[in-house]
Amino acid sequence: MLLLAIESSCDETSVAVLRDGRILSTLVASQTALHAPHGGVVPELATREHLRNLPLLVQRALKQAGVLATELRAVAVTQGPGLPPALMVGLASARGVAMAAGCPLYGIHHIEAHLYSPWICPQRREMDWNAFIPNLALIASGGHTLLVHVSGAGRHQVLGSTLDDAAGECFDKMAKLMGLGYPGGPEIDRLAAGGDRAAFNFPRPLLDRASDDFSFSGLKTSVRYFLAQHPQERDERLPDLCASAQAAVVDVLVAKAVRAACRLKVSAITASGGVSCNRALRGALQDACTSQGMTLRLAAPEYCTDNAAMIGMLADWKIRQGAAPLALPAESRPRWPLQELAS
Amino acid sequence: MKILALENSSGRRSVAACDASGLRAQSGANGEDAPLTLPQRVDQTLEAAGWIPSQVQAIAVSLGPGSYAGIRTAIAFAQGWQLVHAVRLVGVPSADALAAAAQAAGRRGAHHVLIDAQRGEFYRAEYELGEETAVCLSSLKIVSSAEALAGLAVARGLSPDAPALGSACEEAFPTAATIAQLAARHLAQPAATDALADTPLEPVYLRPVQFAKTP
Repeated sequence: MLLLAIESSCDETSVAVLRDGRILSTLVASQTALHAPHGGVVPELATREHLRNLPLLVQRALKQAGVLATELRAVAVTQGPGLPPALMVGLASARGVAMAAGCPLYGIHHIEAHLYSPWICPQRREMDWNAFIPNLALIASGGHTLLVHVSGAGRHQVLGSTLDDAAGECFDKMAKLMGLGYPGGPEIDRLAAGGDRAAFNFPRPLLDRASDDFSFSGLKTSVRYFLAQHPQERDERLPDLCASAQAAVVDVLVAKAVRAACRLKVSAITASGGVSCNRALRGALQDACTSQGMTLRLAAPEYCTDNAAMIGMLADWKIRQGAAPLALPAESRPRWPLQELAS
Repeated sequence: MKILALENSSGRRSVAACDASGLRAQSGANGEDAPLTLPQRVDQTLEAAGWIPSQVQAIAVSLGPGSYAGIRTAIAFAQGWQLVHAVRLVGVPSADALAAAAQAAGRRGAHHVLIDAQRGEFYRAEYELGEETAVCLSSLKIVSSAEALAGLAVARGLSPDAPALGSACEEAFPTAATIAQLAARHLAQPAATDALADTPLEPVYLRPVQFAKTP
């Protein structure tokens, strides 16, 4: 089955073409440079860019895949959650393709797709279903931070999520306070490599609580107060500052993920979302899993951030499981809770 | 030429199918109670016209000004369609459609088209409605409510937002049928001899926007 997948939930326009679950082409048009001067994603700008980028990207993806749009047998699109106008453009574009090609359209939950992106084998460019085992999934990005128990393919339960800022949002805000550019996560990651993670002691929010929820706004505030009291540290010890702030985020994410995995007696942890590209997080998760005798599946960097390949992969699996296509009245779902799909 | 027209810019949305013989089918435009999504209207219209998707040769889209959400949905849909079947895409300003419909209905003389731009302002375009066509005298610009009202002292008004403008203004909505007629006129001409735009399509963005990220 030849499938076209479209992702436009935030500031990345992405298109992928898959045949029988294998990626033939995958493209991402990043808008990072466009939003950088504003210090964050501006929904209006993102939407205008999606509208311009999507036709070009689909054309290129089809060409790279060596297929014609008339050969498509299904179209999949991120239906939610995400920025309302950005989702709307993706859905309308996908619907236009699907109706013209006379094929069904499938709406995919963005976070659910992230749950399975660590199981995409980058070499074979298809899902490694044979290796799939029940796991604890950590999803950490600029818009989401969740712990999810994935008890089987298509079966999951949300254990906890952030009560305020997402981990990536916290990185961006801390970076801004430190005078760094946007996006803040990669900048902090880069500078932290030369710093001492124990130089400054920032709080590890909710780490002592039994809950699987997160809270990062207090950490950002702590960094703000610290810099107000010690402004010279920003200039003199920026790498230490980055490493210490990053360590606070990483420690919380890793400790809560491992604790939940142990409690649920699952033998694997997975991580996806833009923040899981962070080298300190990847290293700390690896160390923790090794010491606990757990398997770690990290999404490949190209499948960590928002991408249409993971949307297409999940759609392909769901179609084979008999999922129903979207009806014509269906609209985007900007606040679609993952719990709604739980089973 | 078989034209599928999408009017998604106003509060009264519609889809029409037109060919050389005229209007073949239309969904919406009568302000019916049940709101339908654009794909539902397209589906209804194609079925009523007896067309299959591959028979559509051009898609005309109203570019506003109006609802950004509606206009972008229509543009994205049309662009998606074009990726499968190599149809021509034509963008039609909604103000042109309002003026053309008024001219076809027999109105003559100076008319202002006024569309709510929010923030106490209106988009205004000025037309002379003649025996054969509606000629645009002054293209769209943003004016204050006071200017919009003052203009109605010298010209008749046409607007989807007429109730806010008093008795000198007549309530009018752009329709997909008119969008299709204007597109047909454009497509019948040699390339680039009129004001309508082929691809790429963008909504009418008149107001300069200062983007600010909430701290």
